[in-house]
Amino acid sequence: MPELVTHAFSAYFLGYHRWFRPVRWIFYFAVLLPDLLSRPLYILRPQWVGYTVAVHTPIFAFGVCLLLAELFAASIRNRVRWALLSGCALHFLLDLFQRHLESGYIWLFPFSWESFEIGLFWPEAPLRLVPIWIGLMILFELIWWQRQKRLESGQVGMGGQ
Amino acid sequence: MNRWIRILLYAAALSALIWYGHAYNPAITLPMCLAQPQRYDGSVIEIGTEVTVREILPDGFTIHQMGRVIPVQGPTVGLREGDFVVLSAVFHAPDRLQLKDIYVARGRRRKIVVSIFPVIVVLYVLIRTYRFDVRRFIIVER
Repeated sequence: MPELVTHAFSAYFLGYHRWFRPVRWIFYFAVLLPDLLSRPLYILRPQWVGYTVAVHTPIFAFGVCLLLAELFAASIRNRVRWALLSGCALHFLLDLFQRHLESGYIWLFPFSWESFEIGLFWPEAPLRLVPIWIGLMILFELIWWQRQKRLESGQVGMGGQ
Repeated sequence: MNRWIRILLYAAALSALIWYGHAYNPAITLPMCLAQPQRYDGSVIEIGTEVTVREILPDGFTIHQMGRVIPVQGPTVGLREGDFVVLSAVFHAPDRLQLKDIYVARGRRRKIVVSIFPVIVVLYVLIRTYRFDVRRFIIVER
């Protein structure tokens, strides 16, 4: 996996799309979710790694998304469900481009134990780009904030006429 | 379908997947080799779960994984003590590895630390945006 800043960056701009905007932070959460489910156990309790085999797989993430969506109020449940599923799908899409020395991710689990990947970069490689991702996100936040401020003041001005 | 039934079904399916992944994983692991060395003698194994280089030796190095220290025979060019590594190696009974291929995951510690920040930010905003209604067992917007 690339680190989670790169994963977050991959979702960041999409989160501003009008469909995602109301559930933007759930979408961002979902793009981190497969690693949040598997890595803490993998790092802190490596002797339990056998139990994490299933956890970082598309089918498991799909199930978790459906389960989490059920915890939300009915009024937003459907949108939350799609935001969670889209975020996880984006996570796996980025992971697909990685390369591994050992077997990579088992995409078709539990139907197959075979692994395949596009293999463009090693898991640690995107770390060098993290300052750029953070810089771009801060810049976009500032531009967005300015734009919102201008729109609000424009509306106030129109209302005052 | 009732919401509670859906929740129980999803939870059961996820538990079953975890169990299946653990019970039927065909991978040969280092703990398996060490537990039954004769059975796995000559097997090629991949070792990547939290493995670090413990010591550089004249003819190889030792790795540390889950409290065990295992000698590995092979080239040590570019290796440093403390490096996270991923290995492909041939297991020789009772407890020796012959290196086939190695990837040094330099930057892994930084990667873990850096990964904590987006998690904190996202969880903070989610907690500010939503709240859990315990009585109805449901997450609602604040």
